[in-house]
Amino acid sequence: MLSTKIRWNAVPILFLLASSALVPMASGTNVWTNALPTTNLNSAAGSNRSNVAPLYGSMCDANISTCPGGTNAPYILGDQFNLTGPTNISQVTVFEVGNVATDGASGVSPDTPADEFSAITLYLGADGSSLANISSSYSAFQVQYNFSTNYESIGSPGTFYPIFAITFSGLNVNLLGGLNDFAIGATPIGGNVFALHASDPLLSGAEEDSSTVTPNGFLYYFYDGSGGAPIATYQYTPGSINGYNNNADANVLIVGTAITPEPSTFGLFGMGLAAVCLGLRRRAHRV
Amino acid sequence: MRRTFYICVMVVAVGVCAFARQPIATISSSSSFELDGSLVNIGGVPAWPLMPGARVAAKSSPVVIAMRDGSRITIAANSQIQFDSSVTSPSANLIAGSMQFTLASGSNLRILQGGTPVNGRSSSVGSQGDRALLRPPPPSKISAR
Repeated sequence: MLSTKIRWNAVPILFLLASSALVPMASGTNVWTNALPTTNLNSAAGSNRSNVAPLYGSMCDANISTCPGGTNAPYILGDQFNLTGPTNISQVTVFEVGNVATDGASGVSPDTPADEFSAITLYLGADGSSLANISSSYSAFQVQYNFSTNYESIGSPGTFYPIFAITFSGLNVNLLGGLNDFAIGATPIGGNVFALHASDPLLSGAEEDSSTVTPNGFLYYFYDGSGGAPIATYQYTPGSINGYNNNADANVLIVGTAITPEPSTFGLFGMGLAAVCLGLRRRAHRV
Repeated sequence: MRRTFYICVMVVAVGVCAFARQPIATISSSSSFELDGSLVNIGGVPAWPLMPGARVAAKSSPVVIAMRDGSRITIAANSQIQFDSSVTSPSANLIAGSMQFTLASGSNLRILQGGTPVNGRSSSVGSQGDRALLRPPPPSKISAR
């Protein structure tokens, strides 16, 4: 009888163990990777150049005025990413090309993003809807292509700029499966301009999830009227950047954890568990 | 006797599961939507099953439909879509509004707009959808660093 009780008491523990098997580790995994390019870099690649850093600015928003020639409004940049199912996002890393040139192709940055922008903000949300302000708390450090090379200016070949990995961590954002968007807002100090790093997924030589799902280029976001939330309005097409004619998907690394399965899965699991419990209980009664 | 009973129950359960009508996709949205005319309040449930022949109407938010073959359809807010009853070669017919779709490699899913087939593996269709789903190229060039 004692052994039966112990087994009966162990059912909740078994349930927890089984549940933990359904829910991946809380630390998260890479759910979307659009890494920095490793090939066809800078001016040496010629027309095959894979790296570009489009600048923030302003342009006509067709939703509020007639384009072209209408009233300009500020835009920020971001891109789509695809989730295979409901996911809890814990970390997002984007790449920004700094405003102050480095000393040569492999030089160290003379400043940091915090010196150039009073705030850098991450926005997330479902593709097709206004994005939510998620976090303005980030860490940043300089990175280089293949651990050796900085970004070379398109307009001024021979001038190199630092690349910063900007990481928003400690997030706890639930997103649905399917296409979602991220965007990066920035409040400049002085005349600094944010430049979001992007690359052609077919030329970059690196892991680019967008090469199979959304190889269409980054998105332009304008702030809508509901509390300044950004919403995508235009999509980059080759030829929309002066001096660069290839694809341009924003580089981003997204870490998250798949949320527990859909209700039907839990329903089947619960029915099975109930059957096991019923069997154990009847066996205990027989004893 | 009891063992026989349990075996029978298990056989019936397995049979029901095996021959039950299978969903062809899952639906997810950040707010309520209509499924076959009934309002579905998401209430924290991340994804709902979509059965053949279903009619889906997005309300204030887009609805994402993830097909079992990996294809994806995003219906813009205030748009409607009707699936036919086929399981092996389903069709999705845009009735109102707009949608964006991406077909998986080898997908048998057929996309229609008002009953007219839409070609292509990835596109936006419709005319009155959410502006964010209709993304034209920017009206002017921008600069890069």
